Amino acid sequence: MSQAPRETALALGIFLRSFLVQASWNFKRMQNLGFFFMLLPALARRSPRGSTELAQASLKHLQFFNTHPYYAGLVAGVVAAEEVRRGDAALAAGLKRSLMCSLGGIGDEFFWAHLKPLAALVALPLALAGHTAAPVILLLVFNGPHLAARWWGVSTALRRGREIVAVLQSRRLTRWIAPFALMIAALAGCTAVLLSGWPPGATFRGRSLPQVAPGSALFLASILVQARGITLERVLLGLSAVALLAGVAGVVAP
Amino acid sequence: MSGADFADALRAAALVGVLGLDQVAVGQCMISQPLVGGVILGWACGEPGLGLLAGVFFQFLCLTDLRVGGSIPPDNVFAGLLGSAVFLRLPHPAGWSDGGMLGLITLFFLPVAYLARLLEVRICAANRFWGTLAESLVGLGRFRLAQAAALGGIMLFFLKAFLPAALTLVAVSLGSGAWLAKLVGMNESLELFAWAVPLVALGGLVAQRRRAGWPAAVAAGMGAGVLLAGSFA
Repeated sequence: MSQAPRETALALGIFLRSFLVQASWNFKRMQNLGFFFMLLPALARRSPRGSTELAQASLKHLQFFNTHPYYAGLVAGVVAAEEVRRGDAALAAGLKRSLMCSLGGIGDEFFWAHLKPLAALVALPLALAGHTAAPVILLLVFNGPHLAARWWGVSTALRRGREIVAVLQSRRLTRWIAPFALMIAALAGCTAVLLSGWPPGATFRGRSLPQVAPGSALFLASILVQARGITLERVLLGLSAVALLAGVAGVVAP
Repeated sequence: MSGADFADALRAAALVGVLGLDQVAVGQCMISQPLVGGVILGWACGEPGLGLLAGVFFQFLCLTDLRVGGSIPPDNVFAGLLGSAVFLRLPHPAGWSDGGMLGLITLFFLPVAYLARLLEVRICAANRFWGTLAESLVGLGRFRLAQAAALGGIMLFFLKAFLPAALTLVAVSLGSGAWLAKLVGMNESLELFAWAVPLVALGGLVAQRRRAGWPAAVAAGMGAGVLLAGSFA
């Protein structure tokens, strides 16, 4: 097999295995088992199965590892490129440590904190209007960037190795975070108005300004309350208690 | 409860278990989110519209979820999936609206989310066993088995979602719904509660993610919402 298809096969292997990086997440060493699972095919290329060299390399990569799951393949690709192909184990270990910390923070901020709620807020108004394609929209909006990031990370890391650091610095994924945050605020406001129909259970369509006022006021008040540090859980507990008491007392008439 | 009901309950619980794997163990491709999982659960029991309704509702409660580093927050996603499954299996007696039913289920949302978190903490502690096993197998040169050990946690994560779902859905199926008819007087207050919950959750999301310029963004969004709402005749 020529070099390029072999590299593609290795990249594809790491990419597919990266979906299982958290299969056995544990407090002791976190994603270590998933990292070992991703890297083993690359390690086996350099050292024959059954050799003590392969066992030692495997045990080394069963040590602590934790990063954002979508970038775990990138780190595995760098380790595979540097240690397996070029034989620089010390550099690979250093890159692994530094990349897993920085990519963990970037990935959590971009994907979990912003892209996930943004994808949900794009799909929710469609779902409120009764479009059954809304879940598909959520999956497409989120998984487009997700899968692109996973594949790009693995393939680029395998190809460029240590140079991935410079590549990542030029990409500046974090520049999307502020615009995403503002889009989330705007979509949340729009969705809140669409939900605000009074009385509860009113249809989604044909609402006037007086009809959306109570719900909109509640939405704005909840922003102010929770911006002061009162958590959503506490607000929900309070609302639950009020609903129960009101229901038992029969305060809210049909 | 008939055998068919029991089997349906277990099937729904197994589906919750499989969808729940997407949260941590396998993929993280968002199929575990209530908006997606609710529709899948709805299709499985022949009520995709109800599944979409429940999924939409519980998705709002998952908007503020943020899993950072090694932290394990309350498991709102599992609570949302289970809530959707319960909504689909609960009888809807006369006098109860969909909003009232969702409000009733939401009363249990936080306890379920915290219980699921507790289970996940136990599983993440137990998963160290697979690491010990994998290291032993690597030492013996059994690399295929070591890889299988590395994936052993999938079974525990599945059970974490399946077992509570099975217990809950079987219990729901055992009931005749007569207790719901007795509580019908609470429908209006719970409907009001269900109306408020997504608005409060949206407010929480904006409060949590706010950056410079957020008031203008919220105002622009609300203005667009007013235009959209008014444009549908």
